[in-house]
Amino acid sequence: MKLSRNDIHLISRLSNWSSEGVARTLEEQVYHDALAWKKFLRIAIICLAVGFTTAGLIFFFAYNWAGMHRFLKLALAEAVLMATIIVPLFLRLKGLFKKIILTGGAVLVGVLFGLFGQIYQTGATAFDFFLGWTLFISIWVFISNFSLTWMLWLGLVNMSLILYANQLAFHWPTLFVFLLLFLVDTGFLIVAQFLSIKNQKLQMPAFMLNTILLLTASISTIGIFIGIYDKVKDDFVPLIMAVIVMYSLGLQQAFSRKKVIYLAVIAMSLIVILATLISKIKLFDEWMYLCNSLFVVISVGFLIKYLMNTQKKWNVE
Amino acid sequence: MLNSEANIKTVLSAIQSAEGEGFVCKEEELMGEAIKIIRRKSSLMIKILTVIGALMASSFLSNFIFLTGLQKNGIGLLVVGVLMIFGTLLLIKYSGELFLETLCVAYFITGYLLFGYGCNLLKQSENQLIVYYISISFCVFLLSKNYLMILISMLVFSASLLSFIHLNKYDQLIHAYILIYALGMVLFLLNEALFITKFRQLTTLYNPIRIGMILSLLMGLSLIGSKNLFPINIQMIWISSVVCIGLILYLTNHILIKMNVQKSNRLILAFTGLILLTTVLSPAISGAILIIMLCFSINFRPGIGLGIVATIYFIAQFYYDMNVSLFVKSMLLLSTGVLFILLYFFTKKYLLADEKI
Repeated sequence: MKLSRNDIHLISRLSNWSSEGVARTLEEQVYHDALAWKKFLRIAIICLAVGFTTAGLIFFFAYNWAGMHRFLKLALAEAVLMATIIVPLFLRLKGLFKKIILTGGAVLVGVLFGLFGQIYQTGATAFDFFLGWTLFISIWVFISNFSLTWMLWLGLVNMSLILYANQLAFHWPTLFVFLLLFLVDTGFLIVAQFLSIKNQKLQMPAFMLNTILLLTASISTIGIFIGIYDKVKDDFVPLIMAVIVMYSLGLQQAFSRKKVIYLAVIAMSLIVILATLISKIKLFDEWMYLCNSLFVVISVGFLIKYLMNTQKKWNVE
Repeated sequence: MLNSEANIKTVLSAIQSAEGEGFVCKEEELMGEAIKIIRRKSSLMIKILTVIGALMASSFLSNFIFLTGLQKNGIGLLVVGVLMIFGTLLLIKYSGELFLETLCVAYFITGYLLFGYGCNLLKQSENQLIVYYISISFCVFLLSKNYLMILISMLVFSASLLSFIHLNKYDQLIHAYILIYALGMVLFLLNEALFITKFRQLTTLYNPIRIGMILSLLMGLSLIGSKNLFPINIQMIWISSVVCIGLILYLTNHILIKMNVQKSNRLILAFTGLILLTTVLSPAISGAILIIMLCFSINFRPGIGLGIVATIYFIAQFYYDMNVSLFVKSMLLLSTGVLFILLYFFTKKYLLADEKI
């Protein structure tokens, strides 16, 4: 019988279980054992190795080398990049480690692009830098199919879009940028969900799903917040439409796949949006603030109660 | 999982056979509580939702109170603040209704804010306010059993200590703060069994205090983790480092015993100490590593996550603050990276030993 930490706490509270007995049970059932420590140490060492080496290389090439010829600089960066990709192929490493090293390689591609821009002064826009970076790591991302590289890739896509809007497409209204970002990220989620139905192996790890969900919901919430407060309301209606469609899709997914996190994120975003709307009402002066705070606590209270009931129901099934 | 009567009976009889005749358990109460806990089992997600909701509501509420005209009445603010803190505390204690938790936590936070503002209006000195805050959070500690309220009060308590140190220009005392919290955290987290059996009635306090200790230590570490936040004397900084590194070595020894390493125990400890000595100028890094190791060994996931984020941040801050050229920085980083690559190949054989079985 597997006991959780809370179970042990509960039994100990209501009995005279000796502290040695509790300690032994915790040690056996809750704490990490030697095997888990070994795995942890292996992953920690490889992450530290890749992280520090990559960071060191970034700083190395960021340093303005007056004495070094540009050919040598580029050759050096490319050699390092190739080494990170080729060496793991010949080492007998486990899949996870290869993927971690490849993530480091994907970051180094950005270094190479940065170096290229620095040497040849290719335009002042950082936008093409990010676009190039995104495009050229895409194949690795698709092949390695590793959560960290995917998150790096999605971050780069978002970044390229934001920079494009800031540096080239001045005429785009702010809300249009939010709409685009929202569509890109929800599109990513939808495709990922679709693929995971086709193939169980392509299931996103929970932390990645949660991060992307939070990112997406923050984009839509902030977008609508700006839409409510800003005087310029171009593209507000499409944004609202997109949010309605995607949120209903999300809710449908929540119920069909029994994922409470979807419900929580979408409902919280709606509560923030409604609270923003209420704060726009100029009706009872300061009493509106009181109403709003009551609205928030009551709706969050109901939400939590509902989520817990649903969670319990879904866990039982 | 204690989710059915049959399960509970099996678990209890297993404990009984291990413990012998003397084992007594309030079985009926346990059944009742187990059901209640399944009903009220709140995940991390729900706690985060509660906190976000409470912070939003609290900001609206304080806006409201400041617009009603109460903001000029110091005594009024004090009274309302104290009423809010203890009213919500009692409300959640005696109603036990989870639906009310967001409301109570929101009013609870606002209570602290109003009390502080009221003190300010009444021209109380900052030190007086700190003493009041410490006493209030202490009372909450004694009275409440609510996870979030205990956690908030603990953070108020630690923040008060830190402001006391800073406002009175006792800045070097921050090392004492780190010593106390780091040592306390290690003792408290490693001796879980002892604490929950010694103070059986206070078992529910264990979880919020654990996360509170970690967060309080991180508060202290983040103040000394970057250059310009806290006027500390660079010559004294090794004190905190020695504390954190010493505790890591203690923990390493603990883990080595658990991993059943007989040979080269001393060598591993010496090597760990040597690597950590490079962080002697930034105790924040070793402190964050301590948190990761400790939380991993007791399998406390939120703590591991916090520790990883903190470690990355402190390492980045350390290199950012370092007063050398990019080239030197890059060489330092690269050599650290190479060191870890070598370490990987050295330890590979041992760490992979059990994989094939």
